[in-house]
Amino acid sequence: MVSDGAQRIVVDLDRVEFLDSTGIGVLVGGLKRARTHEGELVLVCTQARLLNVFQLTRLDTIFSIFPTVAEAGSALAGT
Amino acid sequence: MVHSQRAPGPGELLAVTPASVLLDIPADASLVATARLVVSCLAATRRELSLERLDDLKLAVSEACTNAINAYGPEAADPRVLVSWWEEDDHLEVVVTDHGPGYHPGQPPAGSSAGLGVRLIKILVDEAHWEPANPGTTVRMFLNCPRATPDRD
Repeated sequence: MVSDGAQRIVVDLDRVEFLDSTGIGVLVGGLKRARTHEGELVLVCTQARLLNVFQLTRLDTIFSIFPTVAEAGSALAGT
Repeated sequence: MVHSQRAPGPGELLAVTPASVLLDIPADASLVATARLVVSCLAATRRELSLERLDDLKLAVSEACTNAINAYGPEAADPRVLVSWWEEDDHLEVVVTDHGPGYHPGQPPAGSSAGLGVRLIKILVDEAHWEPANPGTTVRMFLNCPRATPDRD
């Protein structure tokens, strides 16, 4: 997505059933690439089991996580 | 394939000790979900576990399998991952073994998520040990939980 020119990306994890370190690695890679291009990648997530993975890996301090796509979008619009 | 020392008598199914299940799969990332689902099915039906603990186990198994797969180089011939399930009255144990050249749990290859996986496993299960499998690595993961009661379903 970043190489296609997108710099502000919202990843909606609402329908993700399972997230492990492989999936986290993909998200971290996307975040790094977005920031390299002076962009940002934010997440939408309300599922406790997924939020737990971000907390356990302390990646909740790296990612901005929002409860809705609308909130994520307006946060990005302000960057 | 549930092994037991003797065939259970009527109504004895849950009293079989030990019971083990062995899953022998190619070291392929597309099969991690299969290993995870087999273990979580066993845990959900045979042990008394909350949904949160079941999620913890699924994630730990996933991380262990991913590390086992990554322990093989691209040139490995017929690389395989063995996942086995063991249980006792007070705990379950899941053992994941690879026979790849591997790496020490404290020194995962640069740029991989192996270190993250090892950290997660240590947090998620009640006890975890890494042992050499000559060649390869075995990780043994323990979760304290009683057997499911026979009349649960």
